[in-house]
Amino acid sequence: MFTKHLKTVGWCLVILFILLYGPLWLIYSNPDRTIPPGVTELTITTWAGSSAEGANVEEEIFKAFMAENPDIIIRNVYTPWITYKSKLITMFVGKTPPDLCWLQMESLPFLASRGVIHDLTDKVKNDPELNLKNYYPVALDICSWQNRLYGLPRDLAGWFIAYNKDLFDKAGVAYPKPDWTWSDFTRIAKQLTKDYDKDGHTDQFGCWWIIREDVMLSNGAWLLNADASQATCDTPAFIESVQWVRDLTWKHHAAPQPHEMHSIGNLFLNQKAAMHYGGPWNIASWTKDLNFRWDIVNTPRGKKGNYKVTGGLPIAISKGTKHFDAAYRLLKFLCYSEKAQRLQAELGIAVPARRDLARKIYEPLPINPPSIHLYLDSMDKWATFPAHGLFWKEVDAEFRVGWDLIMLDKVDTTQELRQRTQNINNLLEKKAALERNRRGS
Amino acid sequence: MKLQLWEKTATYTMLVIGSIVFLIPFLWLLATSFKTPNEVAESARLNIPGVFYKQAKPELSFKFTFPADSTKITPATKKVLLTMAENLRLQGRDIILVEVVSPDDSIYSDFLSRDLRNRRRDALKRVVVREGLINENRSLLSYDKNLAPNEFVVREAKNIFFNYIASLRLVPLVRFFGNTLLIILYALLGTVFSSAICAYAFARFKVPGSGVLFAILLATMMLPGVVTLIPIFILFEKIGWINTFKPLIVPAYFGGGAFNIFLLRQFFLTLPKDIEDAASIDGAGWLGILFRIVIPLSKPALITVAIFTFMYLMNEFMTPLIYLHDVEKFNIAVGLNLFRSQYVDRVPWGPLMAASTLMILPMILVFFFAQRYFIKGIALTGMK
Amino acid sequence: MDRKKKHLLHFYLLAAPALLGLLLFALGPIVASLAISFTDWDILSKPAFLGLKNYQELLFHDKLFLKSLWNSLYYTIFGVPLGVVGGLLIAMLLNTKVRGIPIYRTLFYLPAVVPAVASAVLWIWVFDPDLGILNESLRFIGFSTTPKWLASTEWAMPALIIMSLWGLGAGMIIYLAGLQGIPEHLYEAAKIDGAGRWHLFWHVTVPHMSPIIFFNLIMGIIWSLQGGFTQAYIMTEGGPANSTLFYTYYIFRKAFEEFQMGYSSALAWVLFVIILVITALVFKYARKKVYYEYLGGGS
Repeated sequence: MFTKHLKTVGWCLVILFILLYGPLWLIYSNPDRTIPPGVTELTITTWAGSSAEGANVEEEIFKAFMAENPDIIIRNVYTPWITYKSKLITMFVGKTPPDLCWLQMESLPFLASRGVIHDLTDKVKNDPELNLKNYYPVALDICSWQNRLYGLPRDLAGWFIAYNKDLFDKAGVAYPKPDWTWSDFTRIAKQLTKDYDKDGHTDQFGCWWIIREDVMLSNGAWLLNADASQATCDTPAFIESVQWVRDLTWKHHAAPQPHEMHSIGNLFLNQKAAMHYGGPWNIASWTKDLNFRWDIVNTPRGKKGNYKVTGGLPIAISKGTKHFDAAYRLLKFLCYSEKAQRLQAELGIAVPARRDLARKIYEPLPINPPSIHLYLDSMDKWATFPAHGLFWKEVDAEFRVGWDLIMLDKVDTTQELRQRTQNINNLLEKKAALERNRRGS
Repeated sequence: MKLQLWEKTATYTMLVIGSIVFLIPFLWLLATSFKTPNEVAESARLNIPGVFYKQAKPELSFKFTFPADSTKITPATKKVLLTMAENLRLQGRDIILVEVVSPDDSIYSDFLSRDLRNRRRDALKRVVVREGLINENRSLLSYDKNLAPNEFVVREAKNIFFNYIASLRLVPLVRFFGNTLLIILYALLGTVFSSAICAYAFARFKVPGSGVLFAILLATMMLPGVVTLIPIFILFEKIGWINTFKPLIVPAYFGGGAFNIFLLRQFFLTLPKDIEDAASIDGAGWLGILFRIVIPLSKPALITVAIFTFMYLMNEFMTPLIYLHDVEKFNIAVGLNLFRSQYVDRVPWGPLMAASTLMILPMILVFFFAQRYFIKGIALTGMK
Repeated sequence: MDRKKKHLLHFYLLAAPALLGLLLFALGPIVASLAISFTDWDILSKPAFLGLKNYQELLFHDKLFLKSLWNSLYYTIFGVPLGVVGGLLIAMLLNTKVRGIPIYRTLFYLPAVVPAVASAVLWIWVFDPDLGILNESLRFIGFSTTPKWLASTEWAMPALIIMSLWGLGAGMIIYLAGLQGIPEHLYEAAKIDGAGRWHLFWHVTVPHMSPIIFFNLIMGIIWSLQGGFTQAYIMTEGGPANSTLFYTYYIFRKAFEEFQMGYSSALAWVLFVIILVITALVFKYARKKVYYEYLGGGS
């Protein structure tokens, strides 16, 4: 009898809980912020809400702006990097675009060509507060499409090579010089590749990962020609650069083969690779975690000199915004003001897009390794993905199939690259016809 | 059925081997959630994290009271801290990673990396970079509520749950759990009720059109969701459901999904007809049959639907990601992505795995208690 | 009201929520995607009508269509039978009356609850050719050469199939629920007739479980043919050399990487037809084999 009642009471409590939980949680957690009258709310889509990307620094930047502009509230619509593009496009097509958006570099040409982001060229030129000469040339490149400016650059990040001084000393190898070449690289990497226990398994690699685009560019080669209408993967310079990476891996075994790239363990952190392709985003955690002495050096020079690909962050204003002036103010604050550039630089993920501020703020950061100046010196010569055009993703996907096969040592490099060139050309032809159709209609 | 000895032995052997195989992913997760960044980088292998066997060093703890009642770290407070860090170094301590704890949650928990952002090349910088002394990164610790606003504690962190504490600090996990619970409570209720009723309709009433409707229902599962993502978003945008929990809850009351209806229909079809006929003769209507006979007899099936829905709602990623704009509204599956990054080598694996473990625990508990209902219904065993 | 009319009313009354849901939330977007499949639509411009061109292109000129379809079929052909049979065997094992069964059940179910963010990393480790636990175990039991799994074009797909089997727990609980519905007296009766274990399995368990096996088979086919997306997206990016380019991943790539929503929708509808045909065939074949207690025989 008693237990029967207990059961009824229990069920009543459960139902009560279910009924009350929702309203109470919503009241308690208050997820809907109210906007005071007379205040403009600006939405900005970012992929920086993530703890790994320093969400609180982004918040600090927004707070600094709101302190200066009490009539504006910023709402950060965070989407993880991996799904960012899908969500952004969905917001555009759903007629609920954000006022401003961070852009992944390869999306800018598409969004610009579809007329959903503002062409800022004239606005920026006539703005007395802005001096575009302060930016690195490559920073403006990543915001441009067909010579028009569709956003402002916030930061830049390109590759450097980090090396483990302890391992160099142990092997008696001199540290790399700033003007080293790819053949120097091969020699040094070979010297640092060790099989200590002679069991046939390499215990220490000369270098972990190679960034293929850097090798190609500095050798004067690229996947596409200048106007991105033709594939150029079968030029001698291109074949040479791919063959170089392949040989480093398979002939000299100075870089790990695909199956030796170990999961989340990092061979460089683990002192099992003497050199590592890295970028500014690595520096803070390396300074904190590495148990050995290290420094950085520029990527080697090829036939064309020290030329490398760049990543960066363009921020654009969507055409759907109802508050263009407020959005433009925020954009200028994020990408041009010293305050925001300083906060962003101190986060240590990327270099400010403004040359003067990079020198003034970024270079003296105590986290930076001694030779950071080499890296900043070379930034004027950086290149954006040359001619990445509208179909970069497709071209890259097609090329990567060939690259995979080459790096698995399954095919002949020259033959495979010829085949890929043909495939990419077919692809480009089809795409161009499609695009003509779209523009025509 | 009574088991013979050899059968028992074989059963146990298979159970134990199977358990080990299926336990490994969880053990790996658990182990990683106790590892320091260096341990993670060193080896992804499943091994015992250092915190469990490395000898604990005597704890160092310093308490400071700063003159200003500011809770932020000012240059003056920083200087005191740096001096302390330098002193620690002079004492020959290996671990000088310290945390600064303040009671109002304006915590510079990762004091070191915070300080490393400082522009001046200062004492600590020398300690860190030149000597390369940092080899343990167990930085975060819970803060002490008894401290006054202008008091800070600097101490060597040695709590073994450092990753768990870090995960709670790094992202608003509690809020994500709260949101997920809200979605689960209401969506689960709707799914179980409405799918049971609809499944009963498809299992018991063979009327013109029922076959075709069932086929259409099944067919909705056969079109890849990627291509309906945008139309659905536009639909929900038109009715003003974007950035609310409604798209995640309301549809559950409309049938609870083709999968659950199909599943329950199959179960209802395994029930013997005689009982219902008997009840029917006794004068019970279809409503009585449904609630007095079919539902009690299908307890395991309904529990299965509940478990599936629960797990689905815990892990659902794409829907909330597209419909929810504010981080405050994220569910736990989307929230976990806050640990991820554009750069793979920046991901804090330890805290991520700790958060994943925290997310799995309720699911394990729910399953453990729910599976008790996987026993024979009394009516069936006793029936002739 | 006669019986037939009453039934009709009852059916539509009970099924109303599902039918309304279908009408309100599902049908519109589905029809929209069908319409889109006859156009060229880059999502941000106006769609342009193409007629059947998308279908012609993908059926006759698209190598990746065939490649990705083959990958998904491969995944299904090996994954589904292993999943359906394996799940049943595990469920029977976990239905024995031995001590600690709740704990074993929970342990077997564990892999199904590991969140995708964590499990991707976990599996990259499991399949690591040098340090991974899988190859270490293989070497331990005496294999001298071990597959390179995700780093090879031949073994990447088997690796993902193994990965899908680890999640057997989900299918297992459906079986486990089903096993509870088999009346004990049927086993007793068969045993009195002197039936062995094999006979009991084949003539009591299987027939009574057939609706559930059928369910798992159908759902396995529907999901497997659409499966592999998360793994391909997070772990392999379809590589190496497109060896794990699953059909749905290809659809996604066309839609959200290359912005060809029309083409992508056409791809999706082709898959829809393929799944529909296979499912219909299984339904037709199963009509004779599946035993529905309620209907007293075939349905």
